Amino acid sequence: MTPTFPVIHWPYLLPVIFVVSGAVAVLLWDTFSRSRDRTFLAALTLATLAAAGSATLSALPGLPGGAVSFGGMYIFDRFTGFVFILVLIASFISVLIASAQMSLDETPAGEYFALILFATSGMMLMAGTRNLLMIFIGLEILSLSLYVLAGYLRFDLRGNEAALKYFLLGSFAAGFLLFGMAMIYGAAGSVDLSRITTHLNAHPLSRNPAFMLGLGFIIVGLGFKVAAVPFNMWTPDVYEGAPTAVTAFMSVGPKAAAFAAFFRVVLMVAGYAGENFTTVLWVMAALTMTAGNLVAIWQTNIKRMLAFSSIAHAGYILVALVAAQKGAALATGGFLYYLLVYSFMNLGAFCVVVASGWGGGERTGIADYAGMGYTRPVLAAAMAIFMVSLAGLPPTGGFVAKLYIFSAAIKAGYVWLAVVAVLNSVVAVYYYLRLIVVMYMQEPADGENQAAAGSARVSSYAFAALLLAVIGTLELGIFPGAVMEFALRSGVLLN
Amino acid sequence: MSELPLTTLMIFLPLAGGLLLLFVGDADEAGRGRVRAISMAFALAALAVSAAVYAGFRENFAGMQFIERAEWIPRFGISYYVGLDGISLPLILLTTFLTPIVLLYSWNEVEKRVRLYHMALLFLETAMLGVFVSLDFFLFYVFWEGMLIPMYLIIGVWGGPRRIYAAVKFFLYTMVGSVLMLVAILWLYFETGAETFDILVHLDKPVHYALQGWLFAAFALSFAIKVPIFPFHTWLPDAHVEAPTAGSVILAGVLLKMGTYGLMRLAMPLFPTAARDFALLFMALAVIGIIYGALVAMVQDDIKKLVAYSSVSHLGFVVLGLFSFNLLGASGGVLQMVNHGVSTGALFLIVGMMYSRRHTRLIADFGGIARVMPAFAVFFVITSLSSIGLPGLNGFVGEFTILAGAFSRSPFFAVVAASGVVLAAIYMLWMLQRVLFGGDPSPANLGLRDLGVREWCVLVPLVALMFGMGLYPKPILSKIEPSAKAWVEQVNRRVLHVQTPPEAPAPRLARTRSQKTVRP
Repeated sequence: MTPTFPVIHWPYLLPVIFVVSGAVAVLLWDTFSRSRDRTFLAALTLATLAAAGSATLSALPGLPGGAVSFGGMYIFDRFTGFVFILVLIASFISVLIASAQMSLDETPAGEYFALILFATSGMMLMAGTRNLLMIFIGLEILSLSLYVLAGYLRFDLRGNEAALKYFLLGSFAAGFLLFGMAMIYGAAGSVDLSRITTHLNAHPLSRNPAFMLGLGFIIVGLGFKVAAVPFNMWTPDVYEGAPTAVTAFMSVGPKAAAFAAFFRVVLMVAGYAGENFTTVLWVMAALTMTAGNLVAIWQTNIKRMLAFSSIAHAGYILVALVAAQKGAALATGGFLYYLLVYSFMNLGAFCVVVASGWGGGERTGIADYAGMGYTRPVLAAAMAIFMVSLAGLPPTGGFVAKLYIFSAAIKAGYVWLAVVAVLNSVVAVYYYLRLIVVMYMQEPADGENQAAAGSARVSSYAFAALLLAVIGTLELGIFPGAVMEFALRSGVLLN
Repeated sequence: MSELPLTTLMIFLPLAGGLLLLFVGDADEAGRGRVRAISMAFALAALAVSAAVYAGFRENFAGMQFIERAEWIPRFGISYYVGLDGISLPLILLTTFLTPIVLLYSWNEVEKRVRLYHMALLFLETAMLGVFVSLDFFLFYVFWEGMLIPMYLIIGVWGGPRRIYAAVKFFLYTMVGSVLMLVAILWLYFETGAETFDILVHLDKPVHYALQGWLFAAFALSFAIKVPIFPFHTWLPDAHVEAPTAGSVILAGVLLKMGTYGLMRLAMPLFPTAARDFALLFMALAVIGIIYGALVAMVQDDIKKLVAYSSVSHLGFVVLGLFSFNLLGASGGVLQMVNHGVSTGALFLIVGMMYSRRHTRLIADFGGIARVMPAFAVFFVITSLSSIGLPGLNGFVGEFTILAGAFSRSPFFAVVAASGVVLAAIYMLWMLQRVLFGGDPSPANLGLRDLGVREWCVLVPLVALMFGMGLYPKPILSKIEPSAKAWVEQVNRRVLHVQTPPEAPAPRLARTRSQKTVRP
C-alpha cells in the first residue's frame, strides 16, 4: 500500500476556513487590541459570517453532484451548502440579538463572538461530512462552545445551573453517540458512511445486534441534540436559564446541524435497518410533537414555552426524516425549508423577548406581554407574525414549511403521521395565539412599568435582527417558489 | 368586458386599503375620521368593482368567468388562479355589499383601537372574497385560514365579556376542521397523480371510490364545522353573542356561507359518490339542525342568542337543499345563502342598535318600544318577516325552492323541515311581540331615540334588497341557474371508472406502492 495524499477541494472548504479564521481573529483582536470595542468585534463577526455565506453561495453553482475532500471527512454537496447558508444566517441573526441584549454588555465580548463562530464551524463540520467520527468532532466543537455560552452570565445562578445541566447531560449523550459509532464500526468495519453502505450491500446486518444497537445509540445521541422526546429533559431548564441571546442561538443552529447529521446517517442506512427502525422514528416523531405541544400549553414563562415549542418543531422535522427514508427528495427539501423558516421565526421571537425588555430586564413572563400591542405596537406586531408563523398559519413561512413536510409525509404514505402532525398544530395554535390574546386583548397590567417600557427604544441591532426575521418569515410564506425549488434541489444527498 | 383584471382588483382593494391604514394614525379624532373614510372608500371601491363584474357577467354560461391566472409556485403546481361563476357571484356581491354597511354601522360605534379594527375588517373582506374566487387549492386554503385571524381579533378585542373564550373557541373549532382538510387536499394532490392544486382539474378527475369516503369526510367535517351543521354548532352561539355587532353581521352574513359554499364547490362535486352515500346522514343532520335551532331559539331570553340559533336553523335549510342533489335544491340553496346573509345581517344590526341604546339585549328589558321608536319597529318587523320567509320578501323564495327540491328527493325530510318554518314564525313573532308591542314601555325605555340618519342609511339598502329579491328574484336566479344546473350534473355523475377497491386499507395503500422506491 502506498500512502496517497487525499484529494482536497479547497474552494469548497473556504466557508469553514473563513469561519474558523474569523473566530481566531476575533480572539486575537480581543486579546491584543487595547480598545475592546464591542461594536467592532460584532462587525468583524458579522463580516466573517457574511464572507462565509458568500463563499458558500459562490461555490454552489456549477457544483457537480458534490465534492469529496479528505477521503469523505469533508463533503460539500448541495445539502451541505443549504445547511451552511442556514446555519450562517442563524448565527448572523444570533450575533445581532446578542449585541442587543443589555445584560451581556458587561461580559467580555471577544470570547462570546469567538465562541459563536467556533460553534458555527462545528455545526458546518457536522453537516459537511459523511464520516461518523467527523460528525462527533463537529458535535463536540459545537457543544463545548455552547456549554460555555449557556453559563456566560457568570454571576447568574440560573445560568450556571443551565450550563452545568447541559454539560452533564450533553456529555452523557455524547458518550452514547460515540459508543454507538464504535459498535457500528465493529459491525460494519468503517466509520465512513459510504463504506458502511457498501458493506451493508454485501452483508445485510439488520439482524446484527451490534449494528442495530449502534444505530439505536446514535439515535439517542443525536436525539438529545435535537431535543426529541424522550431525550428532551434538559431543554426547558437550559433554555430558561441561559442568556436569551444564547437560547435563541441554541434553539436554531445546533438543532439544524444535528438534524443534518441525523439525516445523513439515517438516509445512508435506511433500507438496511428494517421496518422496526422506521417505526422507532415514527413513534419518536409522534411523541415529540405531542409531548412538546401539550406541555407548552401550561407554560407561563415565554422562554420555557418556546423551549417546548422547539421540541414540538423537532417533532415535525422528524416527520420529514421518517418520510425521507422512502427516498423522496421532497422530504429532505421540506426538512431544509422547514429549518430555514424555523430559524427566522424562532430567532425573531427570541429577539422580541430581548428587545421588548426595559431597564436591563426582559419580558420573560407571558403575563408581562399584556397590552403590548398598544404600548409597543411594532414589536408586538412582529411577535404576532412570528407566533402566527410558528403556529403554521398562512400567509407565513411556517405554513408553507408545514405544508411541505406534510405533503412529503403523505407522498411517502404516512397519512396517519400527517394527521397526528396537523392535529398537533391545532394544539400549538392554542398557546401561540395566547400570546396574541395577551398582547392585544388584555390591558397593560402595570401602568408605570408599561410607561417605562413604552419609552424604551429598540436598539438598532435588535431592529436589524427583527427586520431580517420578519422579511424572512413573510417572504418564505408569500413568495416561497424560488427557495422551495432551491431546497428541493438541495435535498439530494451525495452518497 | 374590459381588460382590467377585475377579480384581482376586487379581492385586493380592501387589502390595499388595510395596508394603507398602517400609515394613518388614529390617536386623535381627525385621524380616526381619516381611518374610517379610507376604509369606507376602499370598501366602496370593491363594491363598485363587484358591481362591474355583475354587469359584465355572462348569463346562460355555466363555467368560470373573469378568470385570472398567474404562476406562483410552478414546481408544485400552485398558481394564483381565480374566477367566478353563478354560484360564487351572489356570495361575492353579498360580501362586498355587507362590508360597507358594517363599516357605516361601526362609524360611531367603535371608538377603541379604531385603526386595528378597520384593518381587521378590510383584511377579512379580502380573505372572504378570496375564498369565493379561488380556483387553486393552495390559494383557497391561504384565504380560508386568512379569515381566521382577523375574525379572531374582531371577536377578541372588541367583543363582550367572554370574548377571549369565544374567540379562542371559534379559532380552534375551525382550525381542527381545516387542518384535516389540508391533509385531504395533499392526499388528493398525490393520489390522483395530477400533482396540481388546480381545483378545476381535480373536479374533472374521478377519485378512486375507496378513497372518496375518507376525503369527503375530511372536507365535509371542515365545512360542517363552519356552517355549522348540528352537532358541530356549539362554537356559534358563543362567537355570535360575544362578537361586536359588525363581527356578528360578517360572521352570520358571510363566514357561515363559507361552509355551505365549500360543500357545494369542493366536497360534493369532488367526491360525488361519497356525497351521495352520505346524503341521508346530511339531510337528517340538516333537519335536526332546523328543528333544534328553532326550538333552542324559542327559549332564549337574549335576542342576540335567539338570532344566533336561528342561523343554525336557517343554514340547515341550505344544507338540506344541497343534499337534495337537484336543481331546485341547489339554486334555492345558493339563494338562501344570500337571503340569510341579508336578513340575519340586518337582524344583528338591529340588535346592535338596541344594545347601544339600552346596553342590554334581554327580551324582558324591552316591551312596547314600537311606540317610542316607530321607524325602528317597522324595520325590525320587515326584517323578521324576511327571516321567517313571508311571501313577497326574500326569505320565501329561497326556502320554498329548497323545500320543493327536498320534497322530490325525500318527502319525509321536506315535511319535517317545513315545520321549521312554522317554528321560525313562532319564535320570531313571539319575540317581536314581547319586544315591540307587549304593553307599555317601561320608564327606562321611554327616552329611547328613534333611528338616526346613519342607522337609516344602514338599514334602507338591506330592506330594499329584501323586497327586491322577494318580489323579483329573476335577475339573480337567472345568473345562478346555469351554474347550478352544471353543478347538479356534476354531483349526480356516476363514477365511470369503477376500479376494484384496493385490498389494503387506505392509508397503507401508498406505502405498499412506494416500496419500490426504497433506496438501493
